[in-house]
Amino acid sequence: MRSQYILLATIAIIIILSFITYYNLSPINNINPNLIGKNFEDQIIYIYQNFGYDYISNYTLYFENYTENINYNFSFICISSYNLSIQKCNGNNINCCYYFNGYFFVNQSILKYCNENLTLYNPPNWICFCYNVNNSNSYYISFFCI
Amino acid sequence: MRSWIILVELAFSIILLTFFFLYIYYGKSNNYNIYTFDSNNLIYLNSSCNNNLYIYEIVNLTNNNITICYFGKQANSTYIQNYEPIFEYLYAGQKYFNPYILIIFG
Repeated sequence: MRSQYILLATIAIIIILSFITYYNLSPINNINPNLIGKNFEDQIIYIYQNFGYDYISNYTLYFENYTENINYNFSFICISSYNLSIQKCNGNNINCCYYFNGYFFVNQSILKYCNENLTLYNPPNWICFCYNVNNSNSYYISFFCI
Repeated sequence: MRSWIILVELAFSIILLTFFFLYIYYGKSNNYNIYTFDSNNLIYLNSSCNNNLYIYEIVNLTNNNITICYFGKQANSTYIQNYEPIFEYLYAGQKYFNPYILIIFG
């Protein structure tokens, strides 16, 4: 008789667990710093290949506003043989952008987040980005050139 | 003898319920795993609601127009109240530069 009670209790627990699982199992959230970083990288490449580099500065502006709205911190440093005219790089604030002619030695102190040492020559033309995406839980840092 | 039959029945129902529980647990999470959110495939989702597989919202950043597509039909925001965003992407545009945010709900 006692074992029957145990069985009944087990059944009750399984039924309750099933209901809790069914109603509380939230869908897998794919939004994370990794996705946001890849988003930036892929779209910069897409813009360069399809629309031309003139649109890159416009996109970075939209991207910064977007990441701010979804509570992510996003910052980048760019090195380019084109003058991309990124708004926040104009005037005295040149910390985020290095525009070069001839050759440019890139080291870690310039890139801040990215562990890269390299020399870029012009030509061919280069646009390189080192970016950092983070929220309270995790971060994503990457370096890419196009 | 009678109590033995009850015991066997109970054990059988526990096995059945365990399978039911596992089915719900993995079935529901797998529904969302089927969608491999590849941004290259999702670039074809646009504000004309031409895809009936997803519930999505498109925010056009040039004119701030918001379009909500509910399985291929244009809908208003009440349709997505009970859903959570599971994928977000800021596209630069399709044929020309026209930045928009795609949000997929699940």
